[in-house]
Amino acid sequence: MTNQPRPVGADDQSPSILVVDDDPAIRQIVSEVLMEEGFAVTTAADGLQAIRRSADQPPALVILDMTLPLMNGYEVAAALRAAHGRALPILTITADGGAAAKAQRVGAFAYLRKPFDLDDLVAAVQRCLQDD
Amino acid sequence: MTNPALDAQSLSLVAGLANPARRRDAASALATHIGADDLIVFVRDPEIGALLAAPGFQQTLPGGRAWRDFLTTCTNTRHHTAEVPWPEMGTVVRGLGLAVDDGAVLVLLGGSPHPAEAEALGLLLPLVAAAFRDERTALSAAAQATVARQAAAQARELAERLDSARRELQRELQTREDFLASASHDLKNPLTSIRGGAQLLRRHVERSDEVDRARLTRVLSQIEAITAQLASQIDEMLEMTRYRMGRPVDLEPRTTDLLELARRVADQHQQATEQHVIRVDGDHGSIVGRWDAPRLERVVGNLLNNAVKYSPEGGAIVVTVAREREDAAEWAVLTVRDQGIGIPKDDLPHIFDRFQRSRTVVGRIAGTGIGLAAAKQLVEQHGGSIAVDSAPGRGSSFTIRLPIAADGAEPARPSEAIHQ
Repeated sequence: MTNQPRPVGADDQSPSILVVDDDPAIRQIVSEVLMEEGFAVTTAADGLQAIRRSADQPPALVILDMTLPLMNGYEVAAALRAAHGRALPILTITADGGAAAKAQRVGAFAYLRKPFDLDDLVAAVQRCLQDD
Repeated sequence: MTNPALDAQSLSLVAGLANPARRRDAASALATHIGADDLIVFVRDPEIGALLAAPGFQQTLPGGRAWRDFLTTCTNTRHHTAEVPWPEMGTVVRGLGLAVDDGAVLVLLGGSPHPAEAEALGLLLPLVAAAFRDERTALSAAAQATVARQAAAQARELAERLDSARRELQRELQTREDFLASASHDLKNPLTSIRGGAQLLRRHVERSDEVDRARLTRVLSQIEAITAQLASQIDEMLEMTRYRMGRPVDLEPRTTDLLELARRVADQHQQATEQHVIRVDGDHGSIVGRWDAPRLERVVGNLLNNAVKYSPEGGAIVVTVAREREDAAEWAVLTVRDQGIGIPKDDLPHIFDRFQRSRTVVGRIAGTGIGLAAAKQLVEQHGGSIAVDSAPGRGSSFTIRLPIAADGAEPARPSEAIHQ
């Protein structure tokens, strides 16, 4: 289980997706499926890592778990938008109640509830990045 | 020593109170028989169902004593199941409570000498007094003012008591809600990994001409490991729920080597991470005591899970197992130290007991789940303790202390523990 797997089929032109979740197994599964679809992926386990890891390559899209240690999902979303622009698309992931309300507060383009379907995740990401 | 309040004669004297013509005589006979200076009688009114002061008797306790205090401290109480006819109210009163304390006797016809009755008595007194005013002689203006003041004071006290009960209930509901939210979060993460892992493999098998067996094996092993973790989390939740309802778990203490246990759990967790190096230091060798091994494994597993989860940059996680002597007692001390992101200072005091009743904790501490609360409960049930030392950016260090050889029993030899 490597932290930053080599993207398969992704090149420098591939849109980069930032995956923020404090559960290592979920980070890995989401990374694998997105890389299979040809995206470049960066992962982070908390808000500080998310900000640091996205500094060099601004993400085209963020997949954000709303329950995180130290900084919560709202704070992380605000910090990422401050760094990469207000238009940064965010897909929120929620494990407990209020998924829709949380997504709306963050200004997310879509949201998923755990345990989510990988096909739904891929479809939402593709729709968002193709619309651009 | 038998108390006269509890005998058959006092019962028949109480029945005599029902007759208005004989009331005065019966009352003084009862007071003399019991040796009480004050006789206070309440009768349950058949229409409103509440205890009302019986006409012709005093309504307050000597010295203005509170009803609740009287009924709580009173040790001479008796509840008869007798039926007493009470023609004046057109009723037969079922059940008779007697409470004698400090020279006063309280007779509750149709009530029991229980502190809960005190609420009804205290509340109804001004109403009863007002009823007297209407039916009998008019009260003086001063007496009316006194009644009004008493009623207002009692209403205030009651409102305050209601308010504090409501706040207490709200706190409990909030705690329960937090517990449910944490429990659901805790369960949904492993479920997401299991579902995601299975879908990942399905996609792979559907899309590839050649199945990558190594990848299949890796993801399937991961799913297996996560299901084991999920089962243990469900056990933990059930035990925590039972514990919160006042039913602690039945520990099954067996001769256990804590060092060997720590190494086993560390090995399992090492397999799930390549970024972290989990090391077990046990310079003191085996430390054997009588503990519930599967539950302690869960406690240590929880600490290691957190250490891995909250050290996203990887690094060393060190488990030390040592022996400490304190006066005559010997303790096994296990510490899990990480170099992770640490815990904010404000969260530290609540991190172990967020789900205890009546604890005021605002909001939830994200992501730590119910594991630490469950760990504390299990360690304390072993007669031990758990503590944390942490600061943001400096990592966390969790220490559990377990008594070795509780009731003076000689610890078993380490070899026996390992091979049992």
